[in-house]
Amino acid sequence: MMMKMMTSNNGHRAMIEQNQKILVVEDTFLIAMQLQMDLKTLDYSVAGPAPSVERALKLLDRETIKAAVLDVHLGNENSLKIANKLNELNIPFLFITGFERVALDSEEFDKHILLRKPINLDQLDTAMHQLLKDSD
Amino acid sequence: MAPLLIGIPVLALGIWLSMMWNHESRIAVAELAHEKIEQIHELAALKIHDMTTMPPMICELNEDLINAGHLDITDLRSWHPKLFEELQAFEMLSSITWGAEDGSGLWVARYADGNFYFDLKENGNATHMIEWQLNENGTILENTNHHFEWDLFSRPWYSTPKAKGVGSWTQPYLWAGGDQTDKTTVGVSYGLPLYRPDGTLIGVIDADFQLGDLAEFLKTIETGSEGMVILSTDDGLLLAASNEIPFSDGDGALQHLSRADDAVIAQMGLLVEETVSTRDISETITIRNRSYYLHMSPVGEEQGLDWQLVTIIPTNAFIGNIEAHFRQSMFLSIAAVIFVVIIASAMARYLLKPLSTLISKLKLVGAGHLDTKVQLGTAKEYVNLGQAINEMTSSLYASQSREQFLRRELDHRVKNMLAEILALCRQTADRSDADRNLLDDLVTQVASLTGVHDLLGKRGAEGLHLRELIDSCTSPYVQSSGQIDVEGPVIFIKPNAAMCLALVTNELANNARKYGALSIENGLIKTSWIANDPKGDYSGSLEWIWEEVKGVAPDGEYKNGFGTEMIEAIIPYEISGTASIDFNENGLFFKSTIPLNCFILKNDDEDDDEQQRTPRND
Repeated sequence: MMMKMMTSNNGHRAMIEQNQKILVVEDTFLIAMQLQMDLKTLDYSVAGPAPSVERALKLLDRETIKAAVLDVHLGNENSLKIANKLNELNIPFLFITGFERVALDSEEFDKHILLRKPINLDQLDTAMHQLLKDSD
Repeated sequence: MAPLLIGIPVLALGIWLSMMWNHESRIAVAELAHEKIEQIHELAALKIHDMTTMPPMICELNEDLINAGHLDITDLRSWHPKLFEELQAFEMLSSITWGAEDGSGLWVARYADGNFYFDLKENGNATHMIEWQLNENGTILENTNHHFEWDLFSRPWYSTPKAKGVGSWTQPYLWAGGDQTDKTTVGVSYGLPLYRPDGTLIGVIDADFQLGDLAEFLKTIETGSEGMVILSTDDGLLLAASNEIPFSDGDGALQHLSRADDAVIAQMGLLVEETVSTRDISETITIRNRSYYLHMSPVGEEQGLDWQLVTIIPTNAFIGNIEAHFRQSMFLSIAAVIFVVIIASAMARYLLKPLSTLISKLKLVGAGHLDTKVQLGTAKEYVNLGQAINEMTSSLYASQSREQFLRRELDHRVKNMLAEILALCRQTADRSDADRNLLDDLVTQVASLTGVHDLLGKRGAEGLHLRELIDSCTSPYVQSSGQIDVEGPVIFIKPNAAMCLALVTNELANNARKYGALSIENGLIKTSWIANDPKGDYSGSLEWIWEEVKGVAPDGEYKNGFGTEMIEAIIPYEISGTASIDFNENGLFFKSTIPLNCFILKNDDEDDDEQQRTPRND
């Protein structure tokens, strides 16, 4: 199944330049590793992963980011600040969350793709595809 | 308490006002009392003055009558109508008497029986005196005459003025006024000697008066039940008193005040005897612990009398009423305060009881007893308040119950899911041709995480003890107990850090089981931690060491396994700590520093919450 998806995305993958990376912000190490691996499997290069707002913002300054995957809850913080920064920079992004509902009072979460954990490779592929197509 | 706070000032004010009133009244009364006693004294003195001027006046009148021949000294029998007239005109006079130098004499007298008598001795050499009773017109009633032995020269009223050569008073004497001795009173007489132009004595004209009337008058003066006005001679013989003191000493002589049974009178007697001065004495004295106003002054000086008038009135005769009023007002004050306290207590009970009930009930609610029902008083406001609170707590109770239900439900689901994953892993492993070890690893790791999740669920917010976490994560891997030597102070890990440390411990133990100390029977791992917080504000860190003390020399597989990589990466990533793994001939040496904000510090509860709220800087 994995192999099939990878081949189906080959055409899109070619559109991404090598120095343009996907920023991953996720506070749980194993999930962050998984996301990184999955994105690599889908032939994206990854910036991060970053476990906190602070480190995510540092990465945004340092790297050329094509798009971002943001976990909504980061320990005791949330990723709204990163989302605002990405909006400023016109970088597309999607949210991921382990919760059924996002208990945060912001319209920001309604305007973007929201993936619920656990995320399988297929879902991620479709979402990334849509995210990058919209931004083009 | 509140009622007393009101009652005590009210009482104090009441007492203060009463005392002020009492004090002012005392001053006013003292002044009034002084005036009053002066008035009484003056009144008595005036009366005495009036009385004592009478006998000399009568005597002078009769002297004139004798000199003018209206009273003929050669016809004594003719005197009685005139003397009767005089006696009738002046009620206090008891007799008018004449004694001639030849021993003859006469008198008209008013006796205690109320009748007038005429006594006559025409012949100076006779031994007897003849006495007649007079009718209301002063006429002699025949057949009433009787006679008795009488000697002029032995009479003090005659001999005293004769000796002195001028008008003078006799010593006061007890006067029985005839046979009726129960009407005993004090008499005193004034005698005036008459002389011919050549200086030879004609006789002595005398007027007697008795002090019973004065005593009667004194009795009419308002002196209170214990006050008295007393007239005495300056050597303390009782002459008249405003109360019923016996005049006789029992032996026919006048009573000495100082010998009276009454202590106050006796004291006054002593005072009179001791006082030789002729001045007024006005003072407050104390007799037998009682206070008296006293006024003493000489009277009758102008008439040649050396009498003393003493007025004495207990101070409390005047202040008594004030004291009674004061006691009454004190009593009223205290009664008012008791009344206020009782009413206020009842009011406070009525008003405060619902509040104290409310407080105790809310404490119960605060302690987590959300099923507490509040029932306050019967007043509408209290009923409404009680209902509002009950609604609030029952709504809180409902949401708390829902939350507990959801948490249990979630917990259950997570465990169930982990169990399913475990089952799936085992079944996959059983059917797979793939590396059995890899699958076993997976199963053990998932089982280990399940165990930690389970423990966290049991501990809740209080956190999980590090020792407990290590025991739980290492138990699937040890061959015999005591292979892992754990040492370190009690420290509780917050839930999010616990999962990270559980993964790390699990990897360390799993690797040791496969390649290190736990793969041999007598292998030994020592793990210890020490908190290091130089600033004392939990900004420090915990240093945690895991060391294979008795193990096997590590091979390449041990050194380059996925586990070691993950251990070194997850700690900085998730909890902002450091982690390093080294190998020596005994096996693995792991060292990590973990920020103290990953822990709940039980010995300081107040900072506990603070710690928990501090965002992780990862």
